[in-house]
Amino acid sequence: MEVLRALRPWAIVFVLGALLSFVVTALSSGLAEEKALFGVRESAAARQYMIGLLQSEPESLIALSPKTDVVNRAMQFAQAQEAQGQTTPVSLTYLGGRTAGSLAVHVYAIEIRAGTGQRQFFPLALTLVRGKVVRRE
Amino acid sequence: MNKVKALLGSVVFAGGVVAGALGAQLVSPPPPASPWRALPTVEEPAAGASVASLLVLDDAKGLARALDTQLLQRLATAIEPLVDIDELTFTGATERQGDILSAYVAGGRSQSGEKLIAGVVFRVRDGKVVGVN
Repeated sequence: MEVLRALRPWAIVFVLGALLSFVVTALSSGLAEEKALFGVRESAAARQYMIGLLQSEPESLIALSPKTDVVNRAMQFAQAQEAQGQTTPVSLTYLGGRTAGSLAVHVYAIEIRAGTGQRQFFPLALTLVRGKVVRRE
Repeated sequence: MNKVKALLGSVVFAGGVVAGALGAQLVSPPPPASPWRALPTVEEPAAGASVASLLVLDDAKGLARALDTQLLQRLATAIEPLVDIDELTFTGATERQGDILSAYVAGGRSQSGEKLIAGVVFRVRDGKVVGVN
């Protein structure tokens, strides 16, 4: 008990330092991202969504999309089943993005090989709001 | 004794600062590794830059000369719901078999005045914009 009492002021100093640093780091990295001071870091959610899309994983897509009704979710499962094995991803290239407040846009270039052997090369821009994909263009 | 305490306090505080910074990094983890290769990036194609500048300059006549109706319709869809474009930032480009995909993020305002951003990608082939997404 005596030891705990003696350590208390040091623990408070440690927690204060950690809290201050956490807040400053989070705020400054958010600001730097918005102003694109050091370029925009690819979002983990956007990359996860792209992997889920190219691997036809509806669970990942649903988890990274805003909450929808059961019919919409069923359609995503059905589309994924139909798409299974029809195309083979060849490359996935991050083309950068930008953030503005809670909004983020991340752009990718995708190269796939269709069942017929034909290669397709096309872009996909994801718009995210608080880590959820709200638009796919 | 006081000097030792002050020094110890500074060390403990610095430890807290390091722990807090590490904690902030853990909250935003890096993206998962991609199972596929990434293509090398290339410089912004001049044709894409030219259309991008017309958009920022709000030059409707210039855009009508640069793109056909079908591409203009696709561009209108891409920038939705922006009605005023303040800036168009080039974010990156890559090339595959003569096709360059040049990506931009447009920032501006919607009809209601809300500040928004939207992604626009130009497909450039033989020095011309042949596609818009």
